[in-house]
Amino acid sequence: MSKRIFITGTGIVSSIGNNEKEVLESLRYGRSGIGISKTLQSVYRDEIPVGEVSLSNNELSELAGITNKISNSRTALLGIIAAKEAVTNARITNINEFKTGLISSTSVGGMDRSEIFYKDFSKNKLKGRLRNIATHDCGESTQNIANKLNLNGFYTTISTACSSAANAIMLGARLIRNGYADRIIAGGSDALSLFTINGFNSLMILDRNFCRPFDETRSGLNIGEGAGYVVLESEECLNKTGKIALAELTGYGNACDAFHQTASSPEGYGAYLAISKAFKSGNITPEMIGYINVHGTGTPNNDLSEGMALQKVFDGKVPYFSSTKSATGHTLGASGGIEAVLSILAIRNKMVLPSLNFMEQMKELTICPVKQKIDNVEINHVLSNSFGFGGNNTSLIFSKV
Amino acid sequence: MDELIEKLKVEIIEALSLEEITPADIDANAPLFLDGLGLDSIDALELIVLVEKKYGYKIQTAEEGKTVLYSVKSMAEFITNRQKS
Amino acid sequence: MELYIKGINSISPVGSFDNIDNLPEVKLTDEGLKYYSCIEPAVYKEIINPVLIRRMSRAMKIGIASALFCLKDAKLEMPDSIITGTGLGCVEDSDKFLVSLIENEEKMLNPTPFIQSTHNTISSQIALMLKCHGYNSTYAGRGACFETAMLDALMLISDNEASNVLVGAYDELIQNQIKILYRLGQFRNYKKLNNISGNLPGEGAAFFVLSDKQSETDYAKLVGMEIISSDNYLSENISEFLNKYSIESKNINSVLLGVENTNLENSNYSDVINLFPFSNLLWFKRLCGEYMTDSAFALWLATNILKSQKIPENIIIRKNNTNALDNILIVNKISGNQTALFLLKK
Repeated sequence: MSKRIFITGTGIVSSIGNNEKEVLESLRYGRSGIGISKTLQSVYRDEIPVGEVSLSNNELSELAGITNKISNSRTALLGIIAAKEAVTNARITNINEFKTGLISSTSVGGMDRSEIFYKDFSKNKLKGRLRNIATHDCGESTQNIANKLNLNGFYTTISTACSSAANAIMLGARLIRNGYADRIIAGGSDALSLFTINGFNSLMILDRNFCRPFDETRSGLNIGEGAGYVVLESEECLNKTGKIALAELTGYGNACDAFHQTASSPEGYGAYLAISKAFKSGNITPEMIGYINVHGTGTPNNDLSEGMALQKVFDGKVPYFSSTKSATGHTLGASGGIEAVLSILAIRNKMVLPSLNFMEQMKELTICPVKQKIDNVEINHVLSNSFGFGGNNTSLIFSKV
Repeated sequence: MDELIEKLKVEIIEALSLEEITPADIDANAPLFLDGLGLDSIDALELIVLVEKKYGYKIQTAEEGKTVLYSVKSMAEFITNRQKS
Repeated sequence: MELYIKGINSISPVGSFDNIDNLPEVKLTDEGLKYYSCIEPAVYKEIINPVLIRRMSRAMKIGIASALFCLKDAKLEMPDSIITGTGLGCVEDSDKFLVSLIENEEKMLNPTPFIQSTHNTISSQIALMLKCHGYNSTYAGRGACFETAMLDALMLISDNEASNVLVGAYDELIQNQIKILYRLGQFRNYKKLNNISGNLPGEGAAFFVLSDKQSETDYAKLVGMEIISSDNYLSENISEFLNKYSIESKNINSVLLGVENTNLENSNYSDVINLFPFSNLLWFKRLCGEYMTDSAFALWLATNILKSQKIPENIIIRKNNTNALDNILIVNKISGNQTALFLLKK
């Protein structure tokens, strides 16, 4: 029997709230964080809705407790806020008391600042403020978060597109199980950038309206931003501190669809494999799952592929499922972390989360997402799916303790 | 129309870096995707950009793209029809 | 857990091959700003399907070719898992997309560079080519990215999740990045020295097939690895690491260091060197320059030294040991306060 992995803290910042409490409120009232951006300097600002965190970089710096406001990317700021909240919620006072590490993920890191740099640099190679390019690589935000947490231990960065943060949580659990760490802070952060908005726009998969995951009329995703982190602890660690866990990470699986560089296979083979691996790793059977937080981006391709995989894995008896991306937007490299936090909130609050904007069942499927939240549901196990470019598919299972 | 077709062939080869293919290898009526030239959905997106950049006509949706980008001929027809209207 | 290195390949400034029998003298590219660049294979078509090559940037060609050569070297058709590390990923593509979105004011952007700028492009392309549905991951950015890829592979194998894992790293240099790196002052030490320095921008790809099964054709055995996250007590940490694997520092035949030049006393490795008075001291950056995943080149070099039982003359700083070449310790300071250690045995 493998070592048990407990979650003792969760932290989140997203378009539906700047902390866990606010996010829970929004979920209860079915609020969406998607709308017209206040800060983004894009020609598509009024045309492409996004899930933006409602604070400016200065406000985020303040919230993160940072006095030096100059050299931080928005991705790092969001990450620091959510990771700090997770650590505080886990009631960790001395972060280096146990062998503690940080696994952070991001898809574009400090791209928001690189864009500022490149505006001048692309015209004249001697121009552009260097501090704006110094945060370009994906590892910078991780290092920055580790510093702000005063962490002396191991840290690393995962970047597997939209499954990144789920892979970070999976790696964290494996590091603890293999004795490399007692405690891991794992999750991801991604800020909105012109780069990703224009990138997904060039792929023609951005909806000009609110995204409608698993709806027959769905026509793309809404990009969001934010960060979500969990604190994973070993059983020994938990016993020593006498803490009560919020949930347990019981299963995880990563598989590759190996079908196409960006698209998922129509039958969802990679998704099927990842979910099956997660079940197997946790000795969990499909009928034990009470709720699925689906990847559900709202693109025609993803929802069909994921839906087919779910129908196959659950043999037609698919439990309650919803895509919280309908409220938060698709937060790319952060989504696995944000959705881990939401999955745990669902268990702790006995609440099945709603999938907003759903109207019409997809022709190819026999299943529909949950339209409105359902209260007083005893959820023992939640399946959370995160799928990325390159067919990188990861599924996690969070369980009640 | 024939002139446009030949021009398009050259532009497609360049845009998609089809190094080993000459304009003569492309049958204007044959499907560009799958069995035809073996192009994929990323190439389709590149061709949508090509039509807009070189001719100024925007293909609005992926669905429209499927019809317009069926063959070099269908691309040429789309452009000619737009030029007329 | 010990891992056996079944196959290797590197595409680097000293060439593209899997052995070091005839290591050429490396030529720097000097266009005002000096840097190292890879000697690429003459033809990629022999190893990568030409239909797929047309869209590939240089990083993709280097990375994918190196991975496929490595599998060939290991005589392995299908790995159980694919894991990569990269500092900046396909940086030519991100640069291209950034420039294009600024110049074209966000209109009519080609999607290909955006797609390929995703950091896991290469690990997933390899999976796509092989139809490999197994575990797939990519670590990116400054810090221990290649090292975590290795650690990940080690855990997969020790957990019986995989028995053959393809692990590798790649980083390409592009002109804009060279200009930025010089402006950031990262290579200012170079100008002070007249002798050859590794303190220059570099690039390269290196891949390995790791397995839990020993065979006669193995290159070397990876006895242990560690990522230390502290600048303080580095030599104590190294001693502790060696203790864990029951080897004394005096029995380390050669230490392959990530120093910038041969001036050891003035390097930030000076306290480490005192631990190894009886070991050969070697350096690898004179062959590949500096980049975020240069540990992978060091591992390729060390593996090769053990297999061929030859140390290339131009990487020797101090020759202190004439005993049998049966082990090598790699010590490479990566970013921030992280140091990578790899202990290899014949």
